[in-house]
Amino acid sequence: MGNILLTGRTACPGNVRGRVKIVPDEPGDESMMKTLLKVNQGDIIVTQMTRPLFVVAMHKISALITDHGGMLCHAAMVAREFKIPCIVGTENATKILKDGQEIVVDADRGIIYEA
Amino acid sequence: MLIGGLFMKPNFFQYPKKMYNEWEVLEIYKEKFPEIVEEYESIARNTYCNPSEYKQLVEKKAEKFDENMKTLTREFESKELNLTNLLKISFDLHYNYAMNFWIISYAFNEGPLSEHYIELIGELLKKIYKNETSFINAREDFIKTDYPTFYHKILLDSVELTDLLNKIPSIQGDLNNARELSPVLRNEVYNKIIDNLKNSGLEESKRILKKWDKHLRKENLFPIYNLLNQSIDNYEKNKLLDKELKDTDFRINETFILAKKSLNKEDYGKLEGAYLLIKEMLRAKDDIFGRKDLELFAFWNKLTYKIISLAENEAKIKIEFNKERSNLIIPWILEDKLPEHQKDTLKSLQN
Repeated sequence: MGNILLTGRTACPGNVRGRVKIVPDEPGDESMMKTLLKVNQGDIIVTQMTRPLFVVAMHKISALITDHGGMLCHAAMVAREFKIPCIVGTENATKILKDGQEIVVDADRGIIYEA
Repeated sequence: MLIGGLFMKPNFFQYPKKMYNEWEVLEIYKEKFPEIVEEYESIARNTYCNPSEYKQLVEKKAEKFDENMKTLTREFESKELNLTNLLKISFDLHYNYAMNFWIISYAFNEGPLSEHYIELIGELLKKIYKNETSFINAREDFIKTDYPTFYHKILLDSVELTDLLNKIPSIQGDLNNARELSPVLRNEVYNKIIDNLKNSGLEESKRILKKWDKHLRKENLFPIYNLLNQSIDNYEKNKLLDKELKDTDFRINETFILAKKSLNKEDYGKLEGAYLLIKEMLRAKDDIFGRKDLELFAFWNKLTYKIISLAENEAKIKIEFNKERSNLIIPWILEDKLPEHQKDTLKSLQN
């Protein structure tokens, strides 16, 4: 495992390795839908906060990371429901992580590592 | 239901001093709308340990929020859209959001009180489960609750949809065609399926179209495409979600049975109260305020873009808008930069 890239709060535990898919918080369903449909099996969604359209990709992703939110934020709720490892409140994951970057998510401890 | 005896630090009733990732907003709203502090503290006292009081308050706030949004939308659509009028709408929108939406969905549901209930649940479950894994699993269930989110309900709807679609012979060919394609390329086939349903006259088609009526009237087909994608790609997985929800409900009930045996009456009351409050908080966050999110931010963005464009053209003020949350404070940035005569007009409008 590489260097620590980010830390946040554990919303749903679990450990996975996968590729980052940044989903920008854009107004309008169409552009967000296009991004979400490009999510591949095992990708890790990194976003500011979740929106209802994210449901499109929930069965494909291996983890969820958000910039904002606490233990009862929407992303945390949904991650627990789908049993997807989730770290919330990283503050700047969407700026630090890059699309396609391989990372390791240790959601038991709220740490994101370089792969 | 009132649950007495919960241990509570007195400062939990005070307007939060800091909040995870919300501190900027916390400070901005405190400065711009000082009455939010008293409102928060009064709600905190009145709803503490009282899930039904909390539920009623959420409904009242949501109703007030909608009522004000209707007025603001009407003003945006009917008034002359000069910079001063738009800024006034923007201030009023902030006020409505702060006092009726943010105060519940963020200040309470992600603030110190929700953290308190989560901690309390952990402390009490530790008294029931000595085994670490059993404790962790029970804690997960109690924070998740048996409340199915809006996402979850969409996926359950897709299960029902699949069962209905399978009973309509005329669309089976198109469904098979869609299955062969990547989800990004399916929309044309989906449009054919929608047309086919409109012409089929079967009871199943009518039931499906009735469920889609809102989206079809708004000509917003993405939620329908999403449901069809779920129906084609994830039928079995979505059926399992329903089972998991029922299993969670079962496990929570089992824990309450154990709790009744192993906790004293006061602790049992605390566990039940904290659980019900968390569940109400999730419902408020998801079903009440979460459903308003898209419409709210679409309006907010439309308003902000218009303000930026008029600021540039009329007042020669350049503002960079990069969709970050902090940019929603634009009216206050702009207020200071306005030419004197516009500031005066704005002041009289606010009064």
